[in-house]
Amino acid sequence: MTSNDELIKHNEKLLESVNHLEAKLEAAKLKQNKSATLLQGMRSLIQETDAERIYELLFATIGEILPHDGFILLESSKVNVMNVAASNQESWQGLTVNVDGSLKQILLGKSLSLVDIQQFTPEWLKAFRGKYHACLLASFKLQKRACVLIIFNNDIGAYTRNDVLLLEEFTALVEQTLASVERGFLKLEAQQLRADKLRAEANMLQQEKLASLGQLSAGIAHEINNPIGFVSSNLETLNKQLASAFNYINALEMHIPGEHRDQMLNELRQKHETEYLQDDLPELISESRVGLDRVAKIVQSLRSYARTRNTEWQLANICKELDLTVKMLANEFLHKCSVETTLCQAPDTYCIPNELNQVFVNLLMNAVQAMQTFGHIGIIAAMQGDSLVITISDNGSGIAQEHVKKIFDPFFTTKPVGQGTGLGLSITQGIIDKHQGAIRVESQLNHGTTFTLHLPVLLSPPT
Amino acid sequence: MFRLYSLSTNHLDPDLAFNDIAQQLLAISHYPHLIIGYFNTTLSGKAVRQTILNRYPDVQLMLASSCRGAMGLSLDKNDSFASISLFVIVDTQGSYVIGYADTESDDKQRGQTATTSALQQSLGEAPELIWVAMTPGNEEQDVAHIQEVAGQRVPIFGGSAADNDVTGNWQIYTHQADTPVTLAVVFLAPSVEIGYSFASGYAPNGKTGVVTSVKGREIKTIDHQPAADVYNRWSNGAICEKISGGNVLSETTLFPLGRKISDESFLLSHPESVSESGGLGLFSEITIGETIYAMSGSTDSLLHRATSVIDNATSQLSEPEDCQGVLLVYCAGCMLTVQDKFEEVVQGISTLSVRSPVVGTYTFGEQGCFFDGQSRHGNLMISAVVFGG
Repeated sequence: MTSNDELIKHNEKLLESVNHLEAKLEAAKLKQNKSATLLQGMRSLIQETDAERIYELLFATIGEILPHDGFILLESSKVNVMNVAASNQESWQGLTVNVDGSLKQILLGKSLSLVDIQQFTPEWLKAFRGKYHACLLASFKLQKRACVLIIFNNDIGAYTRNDVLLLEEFTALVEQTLASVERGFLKLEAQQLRADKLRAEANMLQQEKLASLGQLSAGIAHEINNPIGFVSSNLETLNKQLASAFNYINALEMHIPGEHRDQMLNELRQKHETEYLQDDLPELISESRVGLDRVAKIVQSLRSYARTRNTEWQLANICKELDLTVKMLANEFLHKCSVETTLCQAPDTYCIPNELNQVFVNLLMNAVQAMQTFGHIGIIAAMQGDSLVITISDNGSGIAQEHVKKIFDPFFTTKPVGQGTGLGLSITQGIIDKHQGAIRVESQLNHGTTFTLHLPVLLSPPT
Repeated sequence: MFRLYSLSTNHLDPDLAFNDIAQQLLAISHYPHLIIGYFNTTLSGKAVRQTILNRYPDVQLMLASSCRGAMGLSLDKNDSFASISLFVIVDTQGSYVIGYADTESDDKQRGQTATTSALQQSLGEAPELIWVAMTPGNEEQDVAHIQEVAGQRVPIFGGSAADNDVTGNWQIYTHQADTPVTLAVVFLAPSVEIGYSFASGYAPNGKTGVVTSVKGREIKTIDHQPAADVYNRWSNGAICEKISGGNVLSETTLFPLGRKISDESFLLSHPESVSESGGLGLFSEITIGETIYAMSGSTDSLLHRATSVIDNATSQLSEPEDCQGVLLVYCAGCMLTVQDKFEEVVQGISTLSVRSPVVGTYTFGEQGCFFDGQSRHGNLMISAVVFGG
């Protein structure tokens, strides 16, 4: 090979490499520009919720990457019918086309580049061909509706198969973008709804709690007044007796001369019943202490119950919480029913004690209110597998079958207007659900009602 | 499913050749969707067509004659000059249709006729590439007419049918007719990615001029001087013995004229004759006012050109290593120039990392698409279309 041949060969290779690299560079630049345009378009798109504005942006973006002279967006309106949702020609707005085999193919995902619709075109497209020649067609989903995007060009064969791929990329991107925006909205909406629901439940819970506390207040006041009464009375008596004792001492000091001292003292003891005082004073004081202890306990319970609402999950013993509630309501049961409690040794479980106490109050107060004569309430707590099962049965008036299904509905009540909010059992169910448990009711009219709670032992707070 | 097969036979005896090809067709396990075939004019194109259709009567088929045979490479054979070479495509998800113009068609409209027919069959759907075979003589118009129907943007590749001695014995057949056609277009819409390259093996030698007079495909003057004289100077006397007239095809193969497509791309025209008036006849058209460049090539560059063209086409695939097959067009003039060493061409292709079926034709004119996206007719060109995975 001559040096000239080698030079030519080398030159050729060099030119070819340059050609090749330039073509690749050009293609890469083009792709980069198109990607940037798409990205910008999608950024704008995700900020829009109005359909018309979305269409505008859609076609503005696609115009940047696939130049066109006309466009149509068909959307499914009825079975086998699509209508023009957007178009560059006003007269086409709202027109409908029947979904025939060729359109169905596109809806099923086959994108098309038609060379010249003046010569060869599907029947359904004839109404829109105007003066256009080439067109591109692709389907996608827009806000859950099946759509077909069509762009037209005045030049024959304006679109290649690469353009088909580009349009497919575009529609896929639009679909994904809008779907993710939609998902985002739905997620936000769901979160908002959940938050609203929790807030509403919390409000209702608070309202119910306040209502319950109102009902309890009379009993509590009574419980407090009684010990305060007898403590006051005892202290008054004690005061008088102490005064007598002081009189006795004073008189004793004044009248003791010498030889008749013993006689005088005896007389004085008899006169002032000092022996009785010696026996009675400790007893009075003891009774006062008992009374004061009771007041202290009631106040402590009240404070415990009414303490700032704590919704934190904590390890607690549900049976002890139940026992506490029963004791708190002892005054409510008084003269209305007997209460029999059988509680097992349950393991500690993660729960929100305040809320479970609210459940027990609701169920027990309902039972009490169902008593038309002196009745009976049976409370049993027993472990069944990994769950604590609590039954609260009464032999009160029972619930009509037509009402049984509704008793957990918010605002459902059979009580006279103004006497019940109808929220108690709804809140109860919400609390049990939150504890991943279940509540069941069985009732027979005029026979009684049994509520059964299934509460799983939770080793950690639910997520 | 996409499969490619290269079938070829070296038999020159018609019976042996047809029997060999028939046996190979029988061995294909799937019904083909398209067969593009090339054959030596020592065989009857009609008989080749019938042999194929006997086995696959419903296949889309295009056959064209190729100078001194055709290339057929596969895993187990390297036929540089096979008497028949078939490129067989099985593609269940692709689309392939063929349109043609027969001898009854108006020559000026045959490109339109064939393309319209193909478009009708594809229900108006654009192909990814149009593969063509046409009889020589009117290729620029043919390409323009194809583009009138299919548009400018779809790449057109292929070559002008050739014979062994430039006596006009070239033939083209399709599955539709058992008589020769003058032009056939194949709409390719494969389910796999394709890549392509169209290039020459020549470089400008620094001499250039403006065409100042033409008549058809004959350049009468360059810079107002007799074209043959100017060309003879530019080529350092390549046609000095025939400066007063005659066929110069073989003398000019290494010194074509070029037109600039881009900074580095040239579309070549092959001088084939000198007229008595000192004009230079070409295998392609050049118009008045065009700047032409004297180009130089070498046997070495022609021997290695096919490899680099295939390599360039393959590199367009997103996964070049998944290349499944190659359709190659190699200028017959170039082939004749390096025919004695043509095994080197085949060896070069064989050294490519991807060893896939290759079918090649030796043509009297090449049509292809440059980097600028425009499809053109040229001479002394080499092109390759590759199918990816």
